[in-house]
Amino acid sequence: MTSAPVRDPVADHLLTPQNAALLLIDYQPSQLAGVRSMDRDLLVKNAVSTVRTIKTFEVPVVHSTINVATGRGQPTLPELAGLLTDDKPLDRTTTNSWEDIEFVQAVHATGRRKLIICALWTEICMAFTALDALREGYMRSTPSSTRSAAPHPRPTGPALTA
Amino acid sequence: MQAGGQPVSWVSLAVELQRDWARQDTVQAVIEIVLTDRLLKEQ
Repeated sequence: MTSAPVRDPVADHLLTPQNAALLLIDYQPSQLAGVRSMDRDLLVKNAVSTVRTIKTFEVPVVHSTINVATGRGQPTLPELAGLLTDDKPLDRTTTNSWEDIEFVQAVHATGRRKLIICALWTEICMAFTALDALREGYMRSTPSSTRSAAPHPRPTGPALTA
Repeated sequence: MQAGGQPVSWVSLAVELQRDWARQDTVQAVIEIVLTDRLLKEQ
């Protein structure tokens, strides 16, 4: 029952508080309303648990919304926004977060190479972002360097695309 | 996933970051977030 010495937390191929960042994208009422693939209350609970975990480990967060400034969308769900008071939302009009200049600048500014991506929906906002992040070399340093986080723990949820 | 991303659940994320239950700084918070507030409550 002897733990091995703590590995280099930046070089570790697994996620550590020092090598990862969370991208939280479009957890907004209209996006949630469109979810049919899993229980919506459970989805929100899982997102809340994810953000609480990330905050416990002081992992940097890039918090983004879509269409709030245009008036077409509402801000981040209050259950999550209350946990993200230190992370001002970066509002976008692009469905692909990676085509928003401030978003990409914020990701680069974290200095992290492993991205935990939570986004609604999986096949749009997560997929586009993850595909571009992978193309830019995120998560390429090791086979497991980029991760996308399903907002659910069960295999019956929506398929991941990135 | 086909492009190289990997799925991770909210529970496995917490455990992966904690990694070792002997790391005292965060262990209480992780137990509260994962077990007390969720898994034990939702049985």
